[in-house]
Amino acid sequence: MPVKIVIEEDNNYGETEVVLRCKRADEEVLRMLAVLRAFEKRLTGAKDGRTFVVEASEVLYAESVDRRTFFYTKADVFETPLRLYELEERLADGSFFRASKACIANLQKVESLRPSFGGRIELRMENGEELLVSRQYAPDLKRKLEL
Amino acid sequence: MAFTGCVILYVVVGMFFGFSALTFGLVWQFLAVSLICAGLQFIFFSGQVIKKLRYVWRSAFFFVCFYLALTAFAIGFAWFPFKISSFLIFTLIFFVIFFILLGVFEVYFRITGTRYNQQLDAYKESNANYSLKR
Repeated sequence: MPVKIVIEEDNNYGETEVVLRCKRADEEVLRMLAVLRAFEKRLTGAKDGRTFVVEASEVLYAESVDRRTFFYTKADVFETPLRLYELEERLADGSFFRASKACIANLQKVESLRPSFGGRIELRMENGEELLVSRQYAPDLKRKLEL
Repeated sequence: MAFTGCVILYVVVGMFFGFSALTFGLVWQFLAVSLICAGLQFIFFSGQVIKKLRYVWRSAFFFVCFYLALTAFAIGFAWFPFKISSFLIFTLIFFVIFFILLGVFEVYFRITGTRYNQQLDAYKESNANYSLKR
């Protein structure tokens, strides 16, 4: 169903407001909502002793190493005080999915997929890195892709 | 699956060399080889031991390690007479079977991978339609 998009620019507006008008909050509308929610999601991460604010949409994946959580953009890596499961909860309803016990990945930043031995799936990310979706979490990814 | 493969291979090779039975000791050897194969597969392809390595290199290292393990078994348990010609036939059979299996898997992975990537593109496109540009 075509969507009518209207943008109103006015200096009097204090903040950006998005209003979704629909006949019924069906699956399509809920997906739009999920994308909007992901768009406004921001993460704070530390790098070289400084704190940065990064938009979730720029994050390729996050992983937990030695009880520390890091998230990766195309060119940088940041450490976050959040645990991986907390990060996953914050980024739920978006394009992030659990790839393994220690990794969550952004499906929007996956360049290509390739099945591998033992029911696993290899992901090639936009920065050229390769991640492995474990057998345990491959079905969730397939469900997300409607496979 | 590896154990079944060993037994089937033994039966096929045995047909040419006139073997009439599979000894009890050989069953245990095949089981050990299968466990080694499964262990190497876990090390190189599970992503839990070797986390970031390209598929080509994983396959290459697996190939070398498994070949060395099989050779050690072949020599240790005298699977064939210790002659150059026998060893060459053993190596040739290993290469042929390995690369046939690799080829079959590669075709399957490529066909399935194409379908996965089509769905990935569809997913990205459907989400892009809802993206707002700043």
